Amino acid sequence: MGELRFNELRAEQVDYTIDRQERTFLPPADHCPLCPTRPGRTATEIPFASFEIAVFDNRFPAFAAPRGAAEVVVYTDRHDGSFATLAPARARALMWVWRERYATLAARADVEYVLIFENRGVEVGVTLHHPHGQIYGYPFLPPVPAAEAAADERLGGCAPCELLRRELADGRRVVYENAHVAVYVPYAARWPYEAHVVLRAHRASLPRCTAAELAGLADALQALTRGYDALFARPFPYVMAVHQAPTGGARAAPSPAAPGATDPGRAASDPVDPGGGAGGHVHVEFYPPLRTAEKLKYLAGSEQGGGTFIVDVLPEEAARALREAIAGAA
Amino acid sequence: MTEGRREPPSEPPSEPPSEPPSQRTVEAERVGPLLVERHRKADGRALILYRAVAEDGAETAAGG
Repeated sequence: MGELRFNELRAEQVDYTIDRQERTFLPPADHCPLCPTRPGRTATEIPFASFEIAVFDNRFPAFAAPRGAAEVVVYTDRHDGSFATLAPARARALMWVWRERYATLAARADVEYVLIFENRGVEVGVTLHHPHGQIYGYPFLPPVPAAEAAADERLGGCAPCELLRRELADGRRVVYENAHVAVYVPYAARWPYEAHVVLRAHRASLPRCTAAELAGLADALQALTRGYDALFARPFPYVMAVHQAPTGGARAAPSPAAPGATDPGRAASDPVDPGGGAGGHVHVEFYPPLRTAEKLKYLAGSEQGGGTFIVDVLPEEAARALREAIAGAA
Repeated sequence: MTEGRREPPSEPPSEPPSEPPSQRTVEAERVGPLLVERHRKADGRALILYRAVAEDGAETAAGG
């Protein structure tokens, strides 16, 4: 099991999980552990002949009970494709899965923050090509949501609400809108084609969203990811991260139905009010590493040594290109 | 950054499972438009399957 060490100079936790060195690495398609189990073949991670969406405990977890959680979310039993190519109904169903997992993990005493994410493409370290994402339940509040909480403080309220207001008023960096969600390249994007997918209404977490908002979120995510693939006419690598409220404050009255740990499949109907604590506004951030069709943006001297991103593309120009790509892919 | 249970490619692919693939269904419930089945894998890890269902409870084809 892993070991947490506090890095004093960076004021952050570092997680050492050396067992993960042994995890499956880019197996051929006929040995994919996320495909359904075929008759007469060794069982995969999902021992059924077919399925729609599956979630299971990561075999090589970065975090595990009683200090957090690590789960794998398989979007489909079809090996090829991506989030962008899912049928719209499947993408919408996935929002409900995220919602249920957030609520369940939020109820655990050993989970302080739930991060739903997807790494797409070998450029960002993917080791399995089958369409899937992951969920980490951190046993502490990581630096990024802590910085978002500090932004709330600095801006005197919900920072994503204020930033959304500014982006919609400006308009130059908005790339997609529907009734419930807006997508924009942020004013100070750190990646050339970074984009934020933001709920219009202030919702601290997915369990606080209406069914229509969840559908709007799925539609916006698919519009963006299809636009990404169209931008350079190639599968577009990215890291996708769902930002929601920290969960530590949601457990004012710990429930005996949420024992923590040993059962990550607990019911979402747990009586806690996940996402009802301070801070948080549902939005999904994309960090794509490409700066051109063939060239990657690397985190080099300035980014790693100084903590300052040097970016080759202005957000307004990136937004223009991305807006056209999304429209063309619709 | 991901994970797998399967043996490396050099392993014979036609070998049948040596253990029950899933011990039991722990529980089944509705969550929004989804039917949720909770299983335990043979090694004790949780496995949850989600299927789309219509308002009347009938399964729907949500596509892949």
